[in-house]
Amino acid sequence: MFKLLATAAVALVLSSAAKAEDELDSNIPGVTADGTWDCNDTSGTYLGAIVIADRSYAFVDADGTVGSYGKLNQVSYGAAPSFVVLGGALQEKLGVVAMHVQGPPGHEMDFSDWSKLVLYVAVTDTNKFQCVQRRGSAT
Amino acid sequence: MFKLLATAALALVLADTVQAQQTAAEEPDTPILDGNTLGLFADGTWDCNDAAGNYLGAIVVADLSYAFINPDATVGKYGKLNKDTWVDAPGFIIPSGEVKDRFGGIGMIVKGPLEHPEDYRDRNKLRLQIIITAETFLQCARRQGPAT
Repeated sequence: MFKLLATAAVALVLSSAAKAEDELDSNIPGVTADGTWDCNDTSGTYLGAIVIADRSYAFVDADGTVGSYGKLNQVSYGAAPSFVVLGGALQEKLGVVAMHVQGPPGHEMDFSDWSKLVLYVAVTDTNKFQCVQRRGSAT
Repeated sequence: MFKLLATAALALVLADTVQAQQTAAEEPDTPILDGNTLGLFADGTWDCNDAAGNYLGAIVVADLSYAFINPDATVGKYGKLNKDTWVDAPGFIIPSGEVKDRFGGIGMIVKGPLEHPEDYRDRNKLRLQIIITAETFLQCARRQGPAT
């Protein structure tokens, strides 16, 4: 039941991205959510880091300790990685239902610059926070 | 069968760690810190070099899964991790994925800096050591950011 609701929620959340899909072919090989993403809330306060590897995530609190782990269900809305969040600190503490990768603000379907990708984390359709990929040798 | 062999190999590689801890325990001046007590974890992105210093790519560890990111930022294969619970710091056997298939990695363990492998106090100096054989390792450094 939760999975159904969460899938419906993520469909709503991602609908704007789907509409914009015609603007640019986002099916660029290699766009991935894997890595460490540093997240701020809408007021700019640092929340912690989300570490994604395949269908698992770890949430690292702002003080550098591990919050908890959770699972991700990949959904196929759009070509960029999108997930329903199942369990873990994101769901239980922050009420997150889904997350998806987008291009930079104003160019949401442009995935050409890896270093500018944004992980949008959705609590509701209108309540989202953003995370930026921690940069390093591989980005 | 592989798991058994990998466990045995990892046990051999880690034997010097345990021996060092026992030796140091007899020397009160040597700081030995329990990795689990300190809340150490392997989760995060680790940039890896070979012994010659060539950049190999990044390993992203989350719980018992990992992803490998190639130097050109494309994703390699995913793999699973089996937690090895008899060491203080986070240690894993690698049953699958890019690190096993391409580099021959059998295990990985979080360690302190090269000069003080058992000193976990400075989080910024932790290493993820990929074990290829008892004498061959890859060294990975945690990608720094606001949370570390």
